[in-house]
Amino acid sequence: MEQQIVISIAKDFGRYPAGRYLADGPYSGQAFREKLLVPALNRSNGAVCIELDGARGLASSFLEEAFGGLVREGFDPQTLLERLQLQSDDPTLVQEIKEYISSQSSAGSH
Amino acid sequence: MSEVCSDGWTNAVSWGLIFLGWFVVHKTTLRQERRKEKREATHKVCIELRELERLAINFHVAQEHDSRNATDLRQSVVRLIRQLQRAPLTELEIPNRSLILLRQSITRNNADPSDFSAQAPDSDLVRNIRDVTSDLIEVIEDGRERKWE
Repeated sequence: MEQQIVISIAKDFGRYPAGRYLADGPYSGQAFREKLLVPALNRSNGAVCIELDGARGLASSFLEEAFGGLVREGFDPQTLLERLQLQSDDPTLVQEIKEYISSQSSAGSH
Repeated sequence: MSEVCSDGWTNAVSWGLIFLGWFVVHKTTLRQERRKEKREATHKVCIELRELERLAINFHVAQEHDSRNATDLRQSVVRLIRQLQRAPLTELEIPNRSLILLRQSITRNNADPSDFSAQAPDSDLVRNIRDVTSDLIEVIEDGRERKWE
């Protein structure tokens, strides 16, 4: 049985994530995707749990770049929706991220 | 003896009616007070939304990206969304879509140093912030009328 990978944005990345690209700072969506999300997804074929709570002020640009960017990098949207387990007390964050993944579906697959 | 009993019953019934009357008035007053508090909470959140709209527009039309204002804006958006998801405002059943649109209108584009450019006051981005905020306020006020007026 595959062990589930758990990533807490606040604990494993930064309590104040901000920005879209690396040029925006070390806690950008691109940095989160490249440093944590992609390695976790490539490490196994199992579920990757993302804990969104605890991070202060998650912006849409960060979310779009971090998660929508996965599809632009070639990950299959359907597989991502199945493997990523998004946890938050705020259902709007989970819904928004899923929309970024789904809306990129024409970008190709891994 | 029977007269005493009859008086006793009359007294008991009278006291019962007095208590019932008090109870009904008390409950009605409490309900009205709660409704008033809820209406005040919606009024307050609408004022905060208008303030957020003002701050967001000021941020986007500024000549330069201001990191401190960007942080404040992000946190204000989160705080307002959380507020709308808590009692008593959660009773308004505001659609998630309206809250997502609020966050996106302010923090998706032109929010970071890498893609910031001073917006004209009538740009699509500024107009969108105004539209989304107004739509959300309308949803809140409709909900208030439906539930608490």
